[in-house]
Amino acid sequence: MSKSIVNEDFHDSAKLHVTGRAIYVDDIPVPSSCLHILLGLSKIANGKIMEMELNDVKKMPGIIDVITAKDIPGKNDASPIFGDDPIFAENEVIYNGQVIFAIIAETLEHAKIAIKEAKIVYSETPPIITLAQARHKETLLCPPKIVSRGDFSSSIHHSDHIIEGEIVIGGQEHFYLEGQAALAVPKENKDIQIFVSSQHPSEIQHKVAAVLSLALNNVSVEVRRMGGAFGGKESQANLPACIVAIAAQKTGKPCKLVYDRDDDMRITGKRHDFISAYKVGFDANGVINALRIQHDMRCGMSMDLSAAIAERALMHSENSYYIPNVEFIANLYKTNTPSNTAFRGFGGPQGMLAMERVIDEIAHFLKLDPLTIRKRNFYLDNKNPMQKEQQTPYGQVVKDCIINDLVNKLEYSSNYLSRRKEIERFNKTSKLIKRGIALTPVKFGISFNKLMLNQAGALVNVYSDGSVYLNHGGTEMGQGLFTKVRKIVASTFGILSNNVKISATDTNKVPNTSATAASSGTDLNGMAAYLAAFQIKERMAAYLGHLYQCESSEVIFSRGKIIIFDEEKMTFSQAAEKCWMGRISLSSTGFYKTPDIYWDAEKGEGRPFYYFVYGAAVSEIVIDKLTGESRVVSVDILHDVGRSINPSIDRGQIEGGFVQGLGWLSMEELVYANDGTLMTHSPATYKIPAFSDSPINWNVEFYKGDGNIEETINRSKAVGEPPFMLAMSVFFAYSHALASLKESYPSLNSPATAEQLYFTQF
Amino acid sequence: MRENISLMLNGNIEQIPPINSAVTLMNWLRNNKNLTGTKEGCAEGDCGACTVVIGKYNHSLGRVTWSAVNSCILFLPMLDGCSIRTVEGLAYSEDELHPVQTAFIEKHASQCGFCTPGFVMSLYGAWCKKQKPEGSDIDNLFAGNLCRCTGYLPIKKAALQIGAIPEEERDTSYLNIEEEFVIQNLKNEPLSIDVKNEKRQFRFDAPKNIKMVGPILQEKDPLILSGATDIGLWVTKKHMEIGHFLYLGDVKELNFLNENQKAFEIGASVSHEVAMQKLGSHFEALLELWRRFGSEQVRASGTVVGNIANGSPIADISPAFIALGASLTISHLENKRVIPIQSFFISYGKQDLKKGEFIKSVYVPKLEKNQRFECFKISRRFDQDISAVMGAFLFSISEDGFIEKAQIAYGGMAAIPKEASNLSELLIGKELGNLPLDDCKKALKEDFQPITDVRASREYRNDVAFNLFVKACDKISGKPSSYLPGAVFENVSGNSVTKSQQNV
Ligand SMILES: Cc1cc2nc3c(=O)[nH]c(=O)nc-3n(C[C@@H](O)[C@@H](O)[C@H](O)COP(=O)(O)OP(=O)(O)OC[C@H]3O[C@@H](n4cnc5c(N)ncnc54)[C@H](O)[C@@H]3O)c2cc1C
Ligand code: FES
Ligand code: FES
Repeated sequence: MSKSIVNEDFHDSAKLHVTGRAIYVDDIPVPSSCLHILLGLSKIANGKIMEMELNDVKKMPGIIDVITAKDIPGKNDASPIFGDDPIFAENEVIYNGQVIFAIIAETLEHAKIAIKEAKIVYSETPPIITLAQARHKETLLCPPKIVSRGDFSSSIHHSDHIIEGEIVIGGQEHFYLEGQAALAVPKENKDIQIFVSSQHPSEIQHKVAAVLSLALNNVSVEVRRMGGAFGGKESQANLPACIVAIAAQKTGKPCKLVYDRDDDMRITGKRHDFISAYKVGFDANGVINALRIQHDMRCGMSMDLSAAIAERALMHSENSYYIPNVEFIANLYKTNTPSNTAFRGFGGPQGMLAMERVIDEIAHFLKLDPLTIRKRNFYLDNKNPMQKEQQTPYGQVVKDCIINDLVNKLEYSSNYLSRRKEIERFNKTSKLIKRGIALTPVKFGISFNKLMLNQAGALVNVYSDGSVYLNHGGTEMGQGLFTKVRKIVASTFGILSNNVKISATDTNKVPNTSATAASSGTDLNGMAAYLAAFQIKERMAAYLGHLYQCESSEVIFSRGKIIIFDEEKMTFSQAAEKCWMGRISLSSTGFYKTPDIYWDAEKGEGRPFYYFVYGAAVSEIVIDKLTGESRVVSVDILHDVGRSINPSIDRGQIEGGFVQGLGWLSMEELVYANDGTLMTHSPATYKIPAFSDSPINWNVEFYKGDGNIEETINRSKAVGEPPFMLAMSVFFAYSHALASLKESYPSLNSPATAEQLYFTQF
Repeated sequence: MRENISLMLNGNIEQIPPINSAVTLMNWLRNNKNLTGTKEGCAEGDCGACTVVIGKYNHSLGRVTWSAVNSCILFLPMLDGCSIRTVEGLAYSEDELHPVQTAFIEKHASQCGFCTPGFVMSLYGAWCKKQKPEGSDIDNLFAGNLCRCTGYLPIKKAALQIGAIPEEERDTSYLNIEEEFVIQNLKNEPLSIDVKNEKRQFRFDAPKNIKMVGPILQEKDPLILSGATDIGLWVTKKHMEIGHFLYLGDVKELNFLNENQKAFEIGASVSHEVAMQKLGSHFEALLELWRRFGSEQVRASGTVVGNIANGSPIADISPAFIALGASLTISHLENKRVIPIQSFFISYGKQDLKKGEFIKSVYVPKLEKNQRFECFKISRRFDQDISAVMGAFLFSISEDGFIEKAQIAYGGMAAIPKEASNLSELLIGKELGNLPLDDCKKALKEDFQPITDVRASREYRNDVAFNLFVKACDKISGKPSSYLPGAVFENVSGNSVTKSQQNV
């Protein structure tokens, strides 16, 4: 038997997690009057609703009401920006799985029986499901997005060699373990409180207010934690929140909506799938002179965040490579499928995968190791005397580049070269088993593309007993944000983390927040919380300095004590009480905005990113030629987290991100039928990596550098998204193995399922 | 007859008045007992977030067995007489956690925490079974638990930490009172629920004696329920309303697994878990098939006979047993008939089972000296996935290497699990090491015209079905290039495995 444990690094909710006492939205104790909601979804992808007969549903036992678009007091829209995501379909249906009505019932069981009585008659129009259909009908959502530099068209003719090709990059379901969930509790005077599993409480507040025609101050939104999100609860949580709000206002009772897995997968948007066509010019050494990539993206039935995702895809299409002449284009296609949305990496992964594909094919063409080609095209490191302020295609100086050093170290520590040789020897004699290895780099820009989102607020209260209360605008989805920010505040006061209570994100406490996204949670909220705590500490120090007749800078907060001239004067608790008695304000807000970033949208130029995160991975795989089955045998990762605030959490993000990326590239496949029905709408058919898919041998190391060159909190670096893309090494290890089975370049598409690998060998 | 369900929950006895018999254990825990630590991630047995540990009496083993199960697809009355432990019932007190819980904290094995209760309970299941997880056991232990956040490595470390605790330091004090309860309850009258609720009738009959099965079947035409790993999904996913269940899990005479020199006979309520242990030592290839069948949780609940009875073309056991020449004993009141297993499958969704009949057991002959058996499963994901193609191969081989008899069957290739009769016939008299592969391919093409679905395309199914045959022949004839999917990967990565364990 073991005792309870205290460690600064443990996840703040770890004990609640393992005892089953961590509360998620569906676990919040509700009064027995709470009503439950089940959604009625469209069974067609495109067409008109000719008749809708829901009276028989209403008559069933346990049914309180059925609501549709007509019951919305304000705007019928759940979209994050463009006003094009109806909450309930009204007359027109635009995707299979779209919400048409909501049943409000005493229990879910009642609703599940009653829903069978709903009768909807549609008039169907042939839907546009695939990218091919969308291209054919030219259903562009907006003008193409472009990032370019130099002159691609003329410079490509000066290249020694030109290659053209295409890669199909599949989408990805978020598969957060906790489905979308929202609970609305009506309060007096039209006020309403929403509990929701959302990365963006402020947006929920905006949407609910608009839907109910209320002011923002009528709506409060609370998020304690999410059971995973990965971008899938950035805009996608708006819909359930709006529906519970409408229902609660109409019935005057608390109303809860939790999507079951199948509904969740059918309703919500996913990672965009791409078809990326490339044309590249390079010299005999593989140095790239000109590159054009056209990304065709399946966006689904509305804009959602697709424009920003396209921009990020373009800004990562050169990955870690300096390419003089580029033309990156993104076409955003509308289809009758769920509206694709944010997902870890936000377009970056697709952009990078296309780039790495280009490198891989050049290497195959020149019969060189792809790593050689990679190295020959890298941006120069910041310590390299030859570095003359190389810019990205969008005009940002890459002043923190370490990719050469990082890759060299990884190449050495992973024994890449000799393993590659050994594998090639093995493949020559092994007929049915083929092995492959690849090293791929990642360079990922940190900051929101939209300038205004790069701000954060926090609230810190010190109580007279010395206990500290912390609130900030970031949300906890498992990434450990709360644990990190709590530690930042604790160390500001020189106390232990468990003396700092971190509380649910709440629009009443910290207003006007940004989504917790773009890996920026700690950078923004950690800094805001630090600034809040720092102000209180300054006030306390000034007062104590006054009492002890010293400079406030001579009052040291350390190990829960106040130390002046090397002498322990009192505990932090006593200091708090003293300050309170001395009428010192012990509460403060903090506000932070990322400095130095700007973006000229017209020109497509500027410094959109505060800094870059770098990393690289070596993966080794094995394929069975007879079946296409494969295993990831070994993975070595070297990743740059700056000066880590919490190494255990950062490691967790790297490992978790990697396996999620591996799933995207190797087994997760979304299959839509011709009529737009998502065929893979549950874990029975949609396979995310299981336990044994995690690499058999796995080394994860942090890059030992000088920390972030920018003034981030503790000089740390964001860690949420970048590791996802390390999994590209698995994909190109497959490519290496397949190359031993055929003469021509094995144009592998993603996901590299057994079937995909099997047929690519021919 | 008894109407109240009697069970033990986290060490406390519960008497539950008759309720809607299609209520799942998970929903009852969450909604009626406010034990919300048990999570819903899929409601179909695939994610493990709802895992709890149950103790149940096993007549074939003559003792109480402990298993981690998916509470989302178990109906509450199936737990009558069982003991259940949920994640809330693990800690000894507010401050004193169970070692399994502590290991998860210390190894940073939770991020969002939503999957965590399920993982904790799977590991606790191993604890109850006195297993010491290490190496690839850990992959098997957690095959039925999905985590989207961690990448699994810290969870592996937590399991290793538990595996390292010596026997004498392991506290299993919970289990004693629970086992006592389960054994006490064996004496109870059989459960028979019959309630009317909002004009709907719900019945649940759980006879304890085989004599009662026939009459209930004959008179009332209920749905036969065994482990509910299929039927559970009909309710949670297809929202089917089932008015009357006849549960076989408490019938003593159906829970037997006999072995003699010639064969195994598996009773209707024997789980995959139990069958795997017994048959696996005789049929090596079946052991690997079973290892990849569902997950710990699914194998603990689901029965072998249920897998055959559902008639599914993608059930894994059926083709394997067709190849092995198994037969079914089907009971009807006092009568019984024995049929070869392949004749049970008539067409898609139609089996040779008449009203009032049920499968009593399946008889599986052992391999004779000159026989070799192989089977391979192809699925999108290695573990916990339904087969796209499943091939099973039995050869009788003469001393000089000629095939005397071949029985080959496939799943996923037709509307029913089916024998490859053209191929099997063609092989008679052929030399194993020197087969006319083109003719074999042709024969197989005549045997099957598979379809394209979400799991695989027709072309892939055709190619791979043939390649599995090649693989089986290679393996049996001991060709240098032949190999086993699972084993070869371990060989290739032999060094790596030990290295990673050092890291952990
Ligand atoms: C997550 C998950 C993973 C799975 N993975 C696999 C897999 O890898 N391979 C695979 O093949 N299957 C798999 N399955 C399905 C498998 O678990 C079932 O087919 C199981 O074996 C059925 O047994 P059961 O006792 O649960 O049957 P139940 O669900 O109780 O019943 C199944 C059917 O059989 C009938 N039946 C049961 N017993 C009898 C009897 N004695 N006489 C007549 N009829 C009877 C029932 O009426 C019903 O129609 C999986 C299921 C789940 C939920
Ligand atoms: S909820 Fe997923 S297995 Fe039960
Ligand atoms: S910790 Fe989030 S799903 Fe496992």
